[in-house]
Amino acid sequence: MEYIKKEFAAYNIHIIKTDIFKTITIDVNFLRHVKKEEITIRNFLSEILLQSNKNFTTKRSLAIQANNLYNPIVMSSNGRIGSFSNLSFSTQFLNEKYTEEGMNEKSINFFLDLLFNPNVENDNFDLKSFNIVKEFIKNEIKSIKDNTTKYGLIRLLENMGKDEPFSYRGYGYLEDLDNITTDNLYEYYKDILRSDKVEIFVVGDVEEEQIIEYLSQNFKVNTVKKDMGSPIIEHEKLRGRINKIDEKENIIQAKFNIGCKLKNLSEYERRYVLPFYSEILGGSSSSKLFTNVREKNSLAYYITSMVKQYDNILMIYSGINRDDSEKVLSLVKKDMANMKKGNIEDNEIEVARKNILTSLDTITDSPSRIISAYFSKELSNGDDIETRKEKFKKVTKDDIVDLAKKIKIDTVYLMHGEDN
Amino acid sequence: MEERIIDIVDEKLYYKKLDNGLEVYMVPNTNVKNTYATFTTKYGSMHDEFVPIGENKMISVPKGIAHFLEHKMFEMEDGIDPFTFYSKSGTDANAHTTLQNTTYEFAGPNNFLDNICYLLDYVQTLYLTDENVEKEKGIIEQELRMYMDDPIWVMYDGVRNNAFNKHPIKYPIGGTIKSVYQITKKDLKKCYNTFYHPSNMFLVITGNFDPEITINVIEKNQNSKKFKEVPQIKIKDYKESDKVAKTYEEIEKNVETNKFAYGIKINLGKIINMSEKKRNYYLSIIFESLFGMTSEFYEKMIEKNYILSPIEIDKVYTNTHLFVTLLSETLFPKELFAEIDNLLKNIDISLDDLEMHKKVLISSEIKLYDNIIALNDSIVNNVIKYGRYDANTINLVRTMNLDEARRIIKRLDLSNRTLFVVKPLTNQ
Repeated sequence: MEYIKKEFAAYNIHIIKTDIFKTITIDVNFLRHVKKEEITIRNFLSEILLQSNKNFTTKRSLAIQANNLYNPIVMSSNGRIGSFSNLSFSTQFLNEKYTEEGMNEKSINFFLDLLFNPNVENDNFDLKSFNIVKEFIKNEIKSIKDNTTKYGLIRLLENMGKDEPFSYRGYGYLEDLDNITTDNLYEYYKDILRSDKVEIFVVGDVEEEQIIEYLSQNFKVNTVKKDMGSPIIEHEKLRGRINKIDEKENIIQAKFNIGCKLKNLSEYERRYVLPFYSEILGGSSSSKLFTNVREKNSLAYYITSMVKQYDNILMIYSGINRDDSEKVLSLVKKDMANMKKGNIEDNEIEVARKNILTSLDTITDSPSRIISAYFSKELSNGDDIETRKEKFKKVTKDDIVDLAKKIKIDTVYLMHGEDN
Repeated sequence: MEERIIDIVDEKLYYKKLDNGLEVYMVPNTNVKNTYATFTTKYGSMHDEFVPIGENKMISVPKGIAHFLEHKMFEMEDGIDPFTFYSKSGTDANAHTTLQNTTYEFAGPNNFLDNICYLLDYVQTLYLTDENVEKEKGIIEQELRMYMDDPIWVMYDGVRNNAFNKHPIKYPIGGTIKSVYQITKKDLKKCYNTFYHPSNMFLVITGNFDPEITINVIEKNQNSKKFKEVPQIKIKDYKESDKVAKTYEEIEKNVETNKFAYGIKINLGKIINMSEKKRNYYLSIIFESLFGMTSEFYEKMIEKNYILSPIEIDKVYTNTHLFVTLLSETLFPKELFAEIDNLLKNIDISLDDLEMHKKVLISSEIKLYDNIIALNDSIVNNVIKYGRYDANTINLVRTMNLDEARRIIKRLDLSNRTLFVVKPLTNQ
């Protein structure tokens, strides 16, 4: 596996050349600082560019063309990485060795056409496509409660900081959707090509010269790369007393979520010690929470801790009976207190270390994981995989106990039904 | 051990049936670091009426018992459970139960030979106490409650329940909270003894490993254990009518838009002189071309605003029927259902459509070999559905043609349908 980074005036191209996959993956990211009022329009763009283009003016004709090209997967999303908003487009297609000669170029053209040849007439996006996408997004936004686990986490984060980027809703907001027009959407599209920071990743058995040449000729953005600073969100002040929220919804299983804020962590702690903490507390089926809440007390089917590293947040989430919430909370507090006091067995640390290292060892098995490893290295000026392994090998119990002292419960959120 | 070169992708399938009846399928891929192994019994939630080993009368056990047993396999007498064992080497362990099978799995790049032996060992021992059976009930209750809040899950369960009259495919995989609390240690033992014999099970291994060394280790492990000879397992046979049990049901839930499942129950008895696998590929293509992203119908429905999201097409097979579920969201249920009814009255497929979907099948099959988990799943599904995996999918797809497709279409009766609708709450 060979890594080549090519820097252009407007963007970087990262090529990971390897012959272990039968596919070629290309991933294009448009980055800027996240703004709440831009989430919906960025989402809209991510959908409409995949809805139709100048050559294929309906979703159906696009889908037929894709199938005839041996079904390249094309995906788009608008996500948040700390304080950055990332509008991302990716494609994965079979290397032409397995299909027909010329398919690589055709597949790349198909993908780039979606990005640079939109269905626009007189500076307006095509109204028919626009309306279909608008209905689709409206439904997505409104259906936020369909997934109760996800909704419970969104509500937890909103209660931890209503105006903080970490609580912004990923699908966007109805009031912003109403303000989007075929005209201002096209303006925004042009603005992205002018001002977003662009990072391109390619994974597969490709000729680097050829692919760089091809992309540099066909990638029509005229942004100027600039330093965006760090995406990491720091919390100003921590709450003195735990914020307890209780909300009623028409649901059968209560969702019980706990949000913690992390403050004054060093880069080393955030990157290398925090994963240990979360893993030992509730990251696996041998964690403290799994053992104590599920196995010993039969209070839950799942209880998991999760780190949002760029947000300096740790979340614990579970599905329980409403009446058990105090019991679960006291078990969680007890496990967290134990970690602070250093009641962590060597064996727990070694299991966590093994899990973390294994996960790093297997990154190269998957194109998308390879890309996200190089992407996060690029974003936060991080270490490469080998250096990360070495540093993870050296994390000690003292490191974990020191970190545990910096983790504070901010909000405890319970969502439950009328009588359960 | 049999070896077969898999065309086009240039990979190799290894197969061996051991003396005790256990079948082993292996597809190595030394390009990746990880190894993925699954150990499956051909026993799922639908096998709940059978003659237990050593008895002679058909019995009926509480619903959800296969899934309960899956949970209990993670209990070991020495107190070191499989999660603990596997976590020492950074290996992920898990299990899942479906309508047709129960599968135990692990994935990890370390300690492979020990891991595979341990997989055989923990699944081939049962450790039940009254206490550990009781404590599981609260955990499973929470698992079932979690599914009850998922509208899609509720809809799949609901529509299947209404489509079938007798066949136990009608019941939820995990049973009900009530049936779970009825399960006893004795029931679990009977199911285990009947369905966990090596001759009813198979191993599938994909990823980075050496097939020769691996098969030797597996054989040595199996030869060191004694299994009773078992007669053919007798499972109840159901005479399932072509008619659905109930044609319509609606419920209210915390959703924003109507979600619907349109279920079609199809008797497959008239499609003869064709392998089941090929028949199923034709059926996939037929429904994809009718309702998928490339269909005229989907485009029309989106333009009319009758449908708000892509139509998900799900298929479940019994020995006599195919049950297809179309799933999406709509603001106009009545109008939409009339459109679907109307479309199904007279269907056809074009040569272009067939050839295009063949390309998609071929490319998906090739892509499988980049993903050891997806490949493993696909092999498991093949063995469950067709009794074996022959690695011959691409050649099979290439022989598909319009005449055969149309012959199948002529023999499909698509008139037995049932609807399940999840509506937003009215009191809000």
